[in-house]
Parts: sequence; structure tokens; C-alpha cells
Amino acid sequence: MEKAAREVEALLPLTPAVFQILLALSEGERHGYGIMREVSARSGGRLRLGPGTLYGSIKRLLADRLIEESDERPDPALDDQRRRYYRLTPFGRRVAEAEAERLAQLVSLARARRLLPEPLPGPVAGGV
Amino acid sequence: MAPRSRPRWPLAASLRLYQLLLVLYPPRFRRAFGPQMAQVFGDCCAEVYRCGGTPALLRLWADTLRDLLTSVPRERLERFERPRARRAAAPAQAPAGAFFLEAGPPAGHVPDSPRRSTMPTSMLLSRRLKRFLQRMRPQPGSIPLDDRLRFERFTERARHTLHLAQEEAQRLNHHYIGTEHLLLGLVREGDGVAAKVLAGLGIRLDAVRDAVIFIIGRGDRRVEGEVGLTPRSKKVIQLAFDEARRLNHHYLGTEHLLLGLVREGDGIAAGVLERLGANLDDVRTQTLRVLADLSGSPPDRSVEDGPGHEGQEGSGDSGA
Repeated sequence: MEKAAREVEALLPLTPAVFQILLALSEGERHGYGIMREVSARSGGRLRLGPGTLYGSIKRLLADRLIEESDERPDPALDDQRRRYYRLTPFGRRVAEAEAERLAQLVSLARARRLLPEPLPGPVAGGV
Repeated sequence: MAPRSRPRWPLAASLRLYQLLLVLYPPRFRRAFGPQMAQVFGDCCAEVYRCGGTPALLRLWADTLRDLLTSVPRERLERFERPRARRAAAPAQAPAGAFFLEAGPPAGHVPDSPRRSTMPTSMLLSRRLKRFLQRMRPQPGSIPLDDRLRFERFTERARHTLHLAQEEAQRLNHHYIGTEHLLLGLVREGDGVAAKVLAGLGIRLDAVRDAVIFIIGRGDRRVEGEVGLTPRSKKVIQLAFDEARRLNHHYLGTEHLLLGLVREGDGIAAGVLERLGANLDDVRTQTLRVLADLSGSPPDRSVEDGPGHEGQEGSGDSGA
């Protein structure tokens, strides 16, 4: 247990690109282009992963066993060649959670220092 | 669907240039991810080009050059800085698994599926192909005949072409039969109208193979089990049927496959043909010319890939 937690810690903090990829994969498996589109859509087009950054990150994530290849199949929406799909491993999910927690702590610290307004109770209570 | 008015060459040129630039990455990285990176880059190009035309394509190039500038040095230097981090993370593999066994797998975790069956691919191909052909609904513009007869409509040479396409896919460790493999099959088949047209245009087997290897690369794993047609290849076959119908041919020969291939126009095969200096329109014109020459004296179907299914002619005529 201890050891596993240390291994998660050892990988933190994640680079923005890596964290975004893990977030994109948290909903289910995707191929490279799917990850790219998701990241770009989620960040309102501000974060654009180029192929080199994307696959460089994917390579490291594969090596560290945060993600794994799941399957190779065509994407019905794209009508194209076969694509390699990736998915989060349990370990990868664990690391993403730990990173999210770390960021949440930073955010609450920023709130305490009044760098960020207090969250409005409405949306939180609404569960959005 | 998408406006077809924009010229396609900027896309093809962009993809080719990007494939050249992939050489900057270390060979191992390139082998593992190059084909996927090119695929993703091609997707991006197609999307921005469709929406924003050439200016958008240039902006994408600016982003891509930045991406190259950051990612190439990282991949090249990684060798020197990475080993320590890798060692730290490496033990994560086994113990992490043990940990999660203890903790119980998180929801949504799917265990690794075992490797695919090792059934001979030839059996799989013909079965899958037949299934696909049987599923094809007669659409406006396709041959209105009993779907089950579709595979029967293939001439011997066309069947042989598909077989060769499959062999080419396996030879390159590709897990699918794409348009590029169909093209290889057509060239290698050697005797059909398609092979003659392609030879006439100076398209040689080894050149096509080189081009395919350059664009896609070889797969890194031996292909075991299923090799299926990509959606684009299926579309090519559907278009081939349509070409046959338009020409009033009651069989599907290599010439129709070639016509389908150039009519589809967006696949790797089309890119390879253009790369080798064959204009797609020329391929089409040339194919039709050869067909016209051949049908001058004897009736069209017996000249080339004789179908050998005369008995089914009636059903083809019914809805023509």
C-alpha cells in the first residue's frame, strides 16, 4: 500500500499535456486524434496538442503504465484507416486522481490567499 | 457532404511534407508512432482545411512546426535524462498490479483481452469479405441484384487481387486491408486490365511498395488473426460495383476496382498513385480507353476478367 502510494507520488506533478490526456481518457478509450480533439474542445481551443507532443506523452504514459493500448479498429465516425485506441489503467486513474487532489489543494490555498474568489454556493449545491 | 471544390493537393502535399519531417524523430520513436502521428496530422489537416481553407492550413503548420521544435529535442534528448525517472517508475508495474488486486479493480476496468485467434487469415478474409458483400444493401447506383450473388460477381482476377491485397497487408505487418493494399494487389495481379493500365502509366510494384512503406511504415508486430477491410476499402468495392453498373458490366473485374479506387480518391492508394506521378483522372481515362479498345471486337465481359458466371446475367439486367 505504502509503496503504491509512493509510486503515484513519484509521478506528480504531471505536465499539463499529460494530465489533459488522462482526463480525456477518463471517460473511456479513445484514439490519438480523439484525444487531441477532446483536449482542444475542453480547453476551448487554447491547448492544442501537436502530434509530436501527443505521442511523446503517450509513449511515456505507456512506459509508466498509466495507459495501455486497447484495440485497433476503424473509427465509425471518421471512416478511415484503423486506429489504435488507448485507455486508462487502474494505476493511471489513481495517478490522475492524485494529481486532481494536488491541484485542488493548490486551488484552496489560492482561495485562502484571496487569489481566487470563493466559489459561489449555488453551482456547487446544484451539483453541476 | 463536405464541399469538394477546394483542390486536394495542399492536403496531400502537407501530409507528404510532414512524413518527411518525421525523419527528425529518433528511429525507435518513429517506428512506434510515426504512422499514427501522420494519421492524426492528416486528420487535423483535413478538418482545418475543410473549415478554413488554406489560411487555416497555414496556421496548423505554424502550430505543427512549434510542436516539432519542442517534441523532437525532447525525444532526442530523452535517452540522456530519462533513465533515472524510468527506473523510478518501472517497479510500479508489478507491485501496482498487486496493489490493485488487493484494493479490488476500480469500476470500469476491463481486463486485458487475450490475443486474437490465430485462424488462417485467408479464411477470415474471404468470410469477412463475403459477409460484407452480403450485407451491402442495393442502393441507388449499385447493382440491383440479389446481395448474395455479389461475391459471385467477382472475376477470378478480382478475387485473386483481394487475396494478393491481403498478402501484401500481412507482408507489411498491417492489421487491415486498406486502399494501398488493394492497389498493391492490382499491380501485382499482373494480367488484368487494371494491371495493364497501371503498368502503362509506369507504376511498378516495388515503387508502390516503397511508397506505402514510406507513408505508412511497416507494422511492428506480426499479424495474427483477423485482417479486415477498412471502411475506405469497402467504399472502394462499393464504388467498383457502381462503376460496373454504369459500364453495363455484369461482373466485377480488376478494372472496376481500379476505377473505384481512383473515384474514392482520398485513400492512401490515391496518394501513392499521385506520388508516383499518375494523375487520378489519367488512370480513369486510361482504364476506360483500354476497356473500349478491348470491347471493340469481342463482347466486353469475355475479353478480360471473364466472369464465368453467365448464368446470372438475367438478374443483373432486371433493374438496370
